[in-house]
Amino acid sequence: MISVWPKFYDTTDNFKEFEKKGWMYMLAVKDSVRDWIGKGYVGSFYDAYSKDARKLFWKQMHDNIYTKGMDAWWMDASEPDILSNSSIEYRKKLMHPNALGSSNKYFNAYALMNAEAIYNGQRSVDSNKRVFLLTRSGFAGLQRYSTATWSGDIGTRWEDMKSQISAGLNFAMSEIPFWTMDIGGFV
Amino acid sequence: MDDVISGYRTLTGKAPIMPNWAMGYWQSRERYKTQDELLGAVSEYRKRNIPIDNIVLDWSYWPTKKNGEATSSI
Repeated sequence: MISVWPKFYDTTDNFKEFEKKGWMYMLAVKDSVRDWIGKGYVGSFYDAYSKDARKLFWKQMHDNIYTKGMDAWWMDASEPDILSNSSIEYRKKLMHPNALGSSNKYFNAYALMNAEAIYNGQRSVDSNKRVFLLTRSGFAGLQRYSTATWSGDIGTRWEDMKSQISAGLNFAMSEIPFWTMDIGGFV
Repeated sequence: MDDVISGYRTLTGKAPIMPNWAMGYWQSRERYKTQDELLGAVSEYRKRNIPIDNIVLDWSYWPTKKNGEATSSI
């Protein structure tokens, strides 16, 4: 299994492939938003609400990773986590507009679209191979993409562990059968 | 309750069966930095006869170039 983010640094060829078709959210680049890696890099996330952008995302994953013999995908940062810890208002701006319209309306379903991209992509090249996706966010219907969700970067306190019980049960009641949690490593 | 679930699944889609190996034992850490590290972990499991079904490669396997320029996550 390998971790693949919907995230692209703006200096890369992969980013530019999305950008030239209008399939890259550009505000993060315009605002020079730097991530938390190393010295901080500028980049953004692809528009998973576009059907053709989803195809391109899978194509890049297929050509670079799947063909090397990968069996499963860890769809990390699928909120989309364009800038960690920013306000809901800024998060909406960072993913606006999308192929379907406004991020006010299409805010929560990103992870569902991201999962659809990989599920459909992998099944299109091998309909005999079961899919396994692990994602950090979800939406109604996620179960149809053979996707499990985990509760993200939880803390190491007992209260964090306690709250996972109701989190997991409520998640299961949303009809998504596979949910999991970290032991808790973030202090 | 079964009717409720069935109705919901009709609306939002059925859950496919996942691969058997996914229900087994996984090894994951933050993070394997080289191929040798990752393959070494797997071979150590084999050596010690500890069953393992999945090994996970976490983020940041994407390299930065010599000039500090980043490369994609793919």
